[in-house]
Amino acid sequence: MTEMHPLLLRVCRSVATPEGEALAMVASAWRQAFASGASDDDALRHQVLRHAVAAAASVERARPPSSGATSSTPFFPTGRWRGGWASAPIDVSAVRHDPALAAAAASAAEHALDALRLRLRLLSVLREVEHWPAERVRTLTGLDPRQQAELLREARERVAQALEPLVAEEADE
Amino acid sequence: MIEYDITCAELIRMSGPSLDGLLQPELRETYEQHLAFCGECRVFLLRQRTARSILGELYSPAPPAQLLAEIDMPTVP
Repeated sequence: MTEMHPLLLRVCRSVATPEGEALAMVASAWRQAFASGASDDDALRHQVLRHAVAAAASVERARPPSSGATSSTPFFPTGRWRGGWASAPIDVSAVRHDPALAAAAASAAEHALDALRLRLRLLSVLREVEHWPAERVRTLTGLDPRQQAELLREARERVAQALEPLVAEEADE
Repeated sequence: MIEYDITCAELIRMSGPSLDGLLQPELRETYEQHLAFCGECRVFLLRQRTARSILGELYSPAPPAQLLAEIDMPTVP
């Protein structure tokens, strides 16, 4: 069950600073989950994640809106993507073979992940980082397959945008 | 008969299952045909694949002992 801690911390830490507050949110989510009388481990995992997400959502709602994060504009307004790289997108195989570039890309991706609004962040963490199956994530979030796919595309695009400076640096060399 | 003419918006919708390796076989050819002539969709897909790949290699740090100490993990019956 402790394998849930890193995931819960990821969900909470981007809305709660300092780190101690995120830890307190996670501990509180566990206490609420235990009190819920979950019937098995999987139910308990879902309960604790629901409580952590609810707590994070509450903190996020209390924040002043920031540009982009709360925009109601569809991310792909005409079925196309925004922006677009001027040069070829970063080559993942090159990233893997260049420790400095890999570290920079991971750092950029981490920051981009933390900057996502909660629903995108949760989906990205569950699907992309923790590799939960789509069906399990849908069970947890209540999203239908199309909604989940659209949100994941938006999250990936935002991460890709965060990687653009690395691409530009590579192209300059 | 295979319909080759899909729009970029349709390809974008199909990209999720494709990235997961779950695109229905009967749609694969249509999908690849579109990618073969649409550079914008190829870039879109590369961006998606890149972001997904880099996110997939992140690791979640271990929680501090403080958290483990604070949570008294009961055994779920």
